[in-house]
Amino acid sequence: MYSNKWIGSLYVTPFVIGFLLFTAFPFVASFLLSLTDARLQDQLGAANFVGLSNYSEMAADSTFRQSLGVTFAYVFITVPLKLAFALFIAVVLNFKLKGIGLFRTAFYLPSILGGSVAIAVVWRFVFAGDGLLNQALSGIGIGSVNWLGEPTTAMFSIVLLRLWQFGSAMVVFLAGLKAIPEDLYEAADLDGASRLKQFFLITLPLLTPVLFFNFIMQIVQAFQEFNGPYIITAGGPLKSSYLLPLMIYEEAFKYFNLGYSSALSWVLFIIIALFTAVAFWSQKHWVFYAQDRDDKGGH
Amino acid sequence: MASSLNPVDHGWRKHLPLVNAFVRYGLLILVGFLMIYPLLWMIGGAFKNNAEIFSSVGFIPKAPTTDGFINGWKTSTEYSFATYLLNTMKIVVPKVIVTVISSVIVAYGFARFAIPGRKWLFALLMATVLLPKSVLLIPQYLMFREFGWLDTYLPLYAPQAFATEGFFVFMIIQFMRSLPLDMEEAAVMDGCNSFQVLTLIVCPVILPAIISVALFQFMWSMNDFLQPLIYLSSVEKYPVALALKMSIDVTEATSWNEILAMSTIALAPSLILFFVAQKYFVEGVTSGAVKG
Amino acid sequence: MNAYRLHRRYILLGASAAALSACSKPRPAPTSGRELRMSWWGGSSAHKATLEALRLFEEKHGIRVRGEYTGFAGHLERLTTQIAGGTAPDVMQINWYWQTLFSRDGTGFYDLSKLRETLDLSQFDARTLSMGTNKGVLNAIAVSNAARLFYLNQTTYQKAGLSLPTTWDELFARGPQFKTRLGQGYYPLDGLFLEFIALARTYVVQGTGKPLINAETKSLNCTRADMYDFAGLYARMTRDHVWPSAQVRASYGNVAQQEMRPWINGQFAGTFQWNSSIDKYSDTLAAKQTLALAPYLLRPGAKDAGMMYRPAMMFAVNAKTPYPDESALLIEFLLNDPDGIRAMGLKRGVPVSKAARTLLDKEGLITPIQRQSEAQLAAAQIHVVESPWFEHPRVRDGFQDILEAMGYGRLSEREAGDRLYDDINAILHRVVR
Repeated sequence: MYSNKWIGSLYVTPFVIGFLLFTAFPFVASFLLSLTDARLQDQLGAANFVGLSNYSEMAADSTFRQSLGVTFAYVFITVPLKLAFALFIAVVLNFKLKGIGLFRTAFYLPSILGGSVAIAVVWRFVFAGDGLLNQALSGIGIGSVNWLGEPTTAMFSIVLLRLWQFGSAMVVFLAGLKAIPEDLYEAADLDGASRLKQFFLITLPLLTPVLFFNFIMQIVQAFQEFNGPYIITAGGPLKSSYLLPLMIYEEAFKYFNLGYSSALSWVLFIIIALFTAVAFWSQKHWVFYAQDRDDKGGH
Repeated sequence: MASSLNPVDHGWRKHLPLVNAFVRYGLLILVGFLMIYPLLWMIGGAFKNNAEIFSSVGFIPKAPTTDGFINGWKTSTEYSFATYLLNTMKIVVPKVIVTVISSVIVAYGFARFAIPGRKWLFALLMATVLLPKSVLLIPQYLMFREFGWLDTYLPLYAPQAFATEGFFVFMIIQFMRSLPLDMEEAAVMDGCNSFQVLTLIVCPVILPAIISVALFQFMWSMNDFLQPLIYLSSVEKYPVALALKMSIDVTEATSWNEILAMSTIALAPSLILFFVAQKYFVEGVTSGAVKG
Repeated sequence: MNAYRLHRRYILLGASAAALSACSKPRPAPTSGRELRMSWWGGSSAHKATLEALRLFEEKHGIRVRGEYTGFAGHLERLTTQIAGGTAPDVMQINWYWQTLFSRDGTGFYDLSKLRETLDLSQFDARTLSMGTNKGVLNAIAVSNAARLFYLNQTTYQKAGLSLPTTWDELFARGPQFKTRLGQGYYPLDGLFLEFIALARTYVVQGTGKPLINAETKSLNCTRADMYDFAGLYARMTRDHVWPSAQVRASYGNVAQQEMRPWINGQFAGTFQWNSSIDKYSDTLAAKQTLALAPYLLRPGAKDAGMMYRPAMMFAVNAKTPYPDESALLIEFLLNDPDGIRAMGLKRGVPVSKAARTLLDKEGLITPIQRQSEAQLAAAQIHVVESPWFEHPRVRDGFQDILEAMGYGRLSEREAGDRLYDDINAILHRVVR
């Protein structure tokens, strides 16, 4: 909007300084580490340069391939589900119902609890063989399932943990919904549009910047999920819930393979970057930014 | 999605709003209960004795006791839990403030100016979000050691003063870009400079987004474990996240009721903040803003 | 201000500082005002006891010690970061196998034999000292030694009307007996994979009479047939209901053994556990249940008890500490001084120092089960000293992955045995550096 580029640069300067000061060095250092066989406990100078052998080792590593597959499955399942659920509840909560504040808090609570120890303990409890979920299922006639003990179902508990914490995405959607001017809806009512039509023709288009944001963030966060598998299943059984961030952590802090772990992180980074880049490119097809409109007013 | 009332219906359709409300409330209550059950379990567990916690699934304690709270508050260390709560505030409050300020400023630059190299800068911004944190740990540690910042709170919030958390900058950018430019253009024509436009016009409108940023950063910082673990070696500087894990050990039976009790207490600041922040989500701040 | 005046003032200051530092002694003698840093991990009572001991130390010797303590979670991460960054504390509590991480060549920690005058090494037997020695350098001193012994839930066994097993065959027989007399959910013995791997190692070493891992050759010290035995033991024990199957154990998620419901209410009726931390297991048992030390199981014609008798935890000193003598004084206080011994009690297991043992024994501070355990350890034939590489996470996980695959039916018993022999050797080759 503004034509003065240099003022703009001024606004962005804190980030540039911050990046150069705090992020650039660790960034570059972690890439260099991925080209060495560094062990966690060594002084930085003690490692040997091994070129790309960490990366070639990765290609042959069956555990890595399995972890990658598990991670992709996790992302493809949780992201759409969580977005849909968060949007749905945000829309429902946007009504002026009595006591709506209470519900809003209740739905947001799981996100606050986050990676706390207590939640992991509770989750293990709920999904245990003799846990709450199985008791409920037995109560209504369906038998118990060995959620955490079978490779086919262990992932389910982690997925559900993520979906349970949809509160933060919901809050962002709520903020987005609130930013839509009310007079748009009033005008649509006067024109005789049904609620459903209003949702698809007013709400959704105006919500797309926020939706895009949530979409990107959910992808990034899903690829970086760590707490769930770490505490509840330890990646098992048989590595069926061994998400890539957990593998990266274990390679560095359990097996002390800092070089290999850095290489893994960079591969994950590239993967996420690719997904993000594709998403950004797709923006022009479905994201509607108000400032790109030529005319004023909303009718 | 508030809208005008429907015209009055006759016959059985008269009851539709009631059924509507019933269904809506029913759904909300069911989902709401599922949402908070684990929390109820956690609070209930805080009042149980240790043997009972793992043997029963229900959340109402059979023999309620405040042992968990009393022992948990005293902690097994030289300091009470109050110290750790205070420490957490010392870290989290500055962090949130600097995050909000720097994120808004930088986001405005991206959203409203045609900066040279904008695409590359933005890519860098996103890149900071994408790289897993565990791999940056050791190099960052070495860097902060060189600065002499070990065993202080600085590594925990100084980087945030420079909008290094791309997540929040990106979020504000999106909110800004979804706003029509009319108001800002009008203000410029009235003679405001860009900073005045930012603070007087834009910020009030995107207040829900700003509140969200504050909320998220607050919550996530409260749960941060690995960063305080490696930067803080003095026990008296520990935040709550470290203090909670201090008594979980491989050589002794863990007093889970203490941990659950203290986790409940640690939850309180985030909850209170959310309650306070709620009203910014209730009021439609933009209503009337575009008119005239 | 006048730049010239400023310049001169700083030169003067700098010169006087240089002069002062030139005059000062290179290593300050212990005086009050010196502060040592000590790190350890533990639970609530360990923290309290250690803090009390440090307080007594300060009273006696006038040196303040800052405790940097955590629970076990995250402790190694932090210590590793500190060592890599050169900011480790003066005195550190370490695990035995961490020596392979930080001081394989002996230079990673301070040479404690240089501090003989302060630290009384005569209280420790040669074998114990050898377990803290790397390439001839004494790096760490054991606080207590421990081995895994058989602890069984007496109450459950009595309920089944069965005696505690005295031989391996009797243990194998208990499986079906438990199933018929008590039900599907009851097992005579239980543990994590980590515990089973230790049990199987004991079984194999009793047969071979040699440590399982040879760090020199970077390979397993046994034949392929022994690995078939290893896999076979797991197959047999899970099949015969002696040990819960992988699926049953995994259904509870990633939980510590003593916090599993079946342990608490006595259904999983036994553990192959370190005697130094057995209290943790008896503490969580539901009311009116007792844990008893069972006779140590030996194979007929066993060449060695197969016990992995090694330090439960050790103290080491930072190789670059500015206060080596003070650090030695602190360790001496905690391990050999009556006040220190009493303050620490049995929190870190039964201490191995002769002075500590005698004192605790005289004052009746050793619990009955600990007393029995120590007696069993003293009577056992322990000649084999296992390599610390056995406890390296990569090696342990190598064993676990194969056993788990077998448990879930992905590998046959024979395939598992082959995989154990081939994969573990490959892992050792890669990991032992």
